[in-house]
Amino acid sequence: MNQRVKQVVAEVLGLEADAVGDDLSRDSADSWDSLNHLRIVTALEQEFAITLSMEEIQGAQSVRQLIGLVARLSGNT
Amino acid sequence: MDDKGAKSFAQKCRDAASIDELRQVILERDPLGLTAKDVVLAGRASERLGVKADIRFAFAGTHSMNPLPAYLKVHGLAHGYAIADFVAPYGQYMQQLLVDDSAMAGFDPGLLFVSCALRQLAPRLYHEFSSLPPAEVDSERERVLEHLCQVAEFASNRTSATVLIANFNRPPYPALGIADAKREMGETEFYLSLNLELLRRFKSSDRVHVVDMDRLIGGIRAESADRMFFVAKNVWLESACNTIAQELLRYIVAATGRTKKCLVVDLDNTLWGGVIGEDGATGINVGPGSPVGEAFQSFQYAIRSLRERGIILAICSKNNPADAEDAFRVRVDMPLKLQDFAASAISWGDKVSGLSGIAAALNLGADSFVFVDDNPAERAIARGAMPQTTVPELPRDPAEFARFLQRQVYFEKLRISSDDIVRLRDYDARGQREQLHTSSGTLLHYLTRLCTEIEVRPAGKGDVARVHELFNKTNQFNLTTRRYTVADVQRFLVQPQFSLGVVTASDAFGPMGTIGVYLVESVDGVARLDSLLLSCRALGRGIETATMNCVKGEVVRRLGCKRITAEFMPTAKNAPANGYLAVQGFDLVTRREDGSELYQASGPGLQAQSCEYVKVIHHLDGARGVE
Repeated sequence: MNQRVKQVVAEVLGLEADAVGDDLSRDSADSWDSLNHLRIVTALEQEFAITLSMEEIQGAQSVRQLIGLVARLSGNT
Repeated sequence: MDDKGAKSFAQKCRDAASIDELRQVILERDPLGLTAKDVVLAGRASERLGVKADIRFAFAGTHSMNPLPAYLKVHGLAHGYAIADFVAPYGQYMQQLLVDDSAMAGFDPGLLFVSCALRQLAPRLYHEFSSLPPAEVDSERERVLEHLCQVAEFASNRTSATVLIANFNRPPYPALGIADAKREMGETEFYLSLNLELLRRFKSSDRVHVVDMDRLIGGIRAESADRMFFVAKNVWLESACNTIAQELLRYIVAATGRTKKCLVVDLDNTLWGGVIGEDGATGINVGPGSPVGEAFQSFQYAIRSLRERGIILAICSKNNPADAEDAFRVRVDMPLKLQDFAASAISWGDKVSGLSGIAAALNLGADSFVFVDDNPAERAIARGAMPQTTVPELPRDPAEFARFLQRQVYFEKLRISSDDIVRLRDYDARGQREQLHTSSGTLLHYLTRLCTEIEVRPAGKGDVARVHELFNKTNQFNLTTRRYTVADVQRFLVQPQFSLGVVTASDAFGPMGTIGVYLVESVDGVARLDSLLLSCRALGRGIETATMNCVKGEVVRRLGCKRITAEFMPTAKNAPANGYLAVQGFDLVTRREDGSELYQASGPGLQAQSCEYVKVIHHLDGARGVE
């Protein structure tokens, strides 16, 4: 699952898959703007058949946080 | 999108060696189905190929415009437009419009798209509609309209752009629910009246156009668009961006004058179901009674409305001419009649020859044509042999033909003028003129019997749209091929150093409409012929000479100049204008390195040349006088 989340982030941000580590965040990636953030969220929602609330969208600002969120919402911890 | 398709699209984008190849890659996809990833990939590929931009497009508004600019670039690319964009910084669109030396003014856009969200422009209207008294709703609407009029005015003054203003899309659920319809000035009524008033305010403007966002994105779920606004401050769902980009592309096609002039259609299984040579006129399937027949009928109606837009129709089909004519004669229930077509190539010869024949008969370039044929093999051959002709991939199912045609961007015009309709009749009469040509013996005899008459007069406000169109669409008989915007044309009307003349023509077969334009700039007693162009329909019958006689007359008598300079700037297409200035009594001064030639005329060179078979009515300063 971790790899699938990283794959989504890499595709949206236009990065190589191995450039996306757990610590990559909105602060450290230039192309991670609000539009791409929403694109990541929409892609994750489709990929894992989940729905994120606004609060969760704003709360998950790094790959690690996204992975944690997806794990929780998909009951896949 | 499945991963396999995504990979191949990505790979194709990476492999594209030229911009034309990349265009083919994009065209193979349904443009309205491009994903965010497709747009990024195609965008990167075009950056790698480094195309020189020919369209400068600016975005401004209350909200974030991303990712629409990237979509517009890719949609433009698919249609051969290299678009450079400028996006006004978030929240600063008015500053950009108000300041003379703003970054936007420096960008010098050819088109400017302005979109304001009502939730930002008038938050109370958006959020508290049901608590506002009707009088306040009225005054808020006036305020919004005034704001947009100001935006349009500033944009028109600060830039030379064609200005596109987005109207307001209705919220999907009125605050009062279905009872909204019964309220005095309810929410639905408010949006309809706001958009109606917006439409009316700019109806007569040649510079400002209203983009109907309400129609485009009304059906998109607003709940998800809300999230887009809260998180990314954009009001459009990303999935709407293809549709919006397509709509903006329509304005680009029209504003740059690259509207296609002629639709050429095949007959069997394109205009009707079945094969006329086998099924006979009563056997072909078109008209009410069967789903397939209705689909073809609907397609014919769609084609007919293109004709009413001023698009010329032609037939290119492999058939016996008699059979094809039979179909039109017997099936009076078909919306299209044989006389709706200005030219036809119906024979067993190949379609490429047919298309070339139609181009020659109508005196149009291959790039003016859109060819519609149900047979993929014929389409591929036509595409290969005539790359400039547009050959869209017609869907397989006739049920989709009509909507497919309506969705194409090729036939857009900013305004349908009465000239469009006159021109259409002129093309229809062309066939008759060709007949006269063969039965009249000598050319002079023919020209005399044609009774050509031209009227030359200073351009007025009512000519702006047609003059703009001629400047941008005339390729062949065009001395300098300088493309001017609507703003430029309006400037030529008011600045005293410019004389902008229009030429209208008629002959024994009827009026031909406005067929020529010239622009003279006079400074210190010397006139400079900046532009002179004539529609190719009008060539080869003395109008070239008669027009220049009028230019000379104006230069000498009205402007009081003793000398006029003129240029010929060769292009890939304007060979018909080569040598024209020398024939008209101009002397070659110099030939520059880029191939352009500078001429001048003075003394005897300014005398009118004999042109007795064209009657000329020349108005100087609008004063009537027959010369």
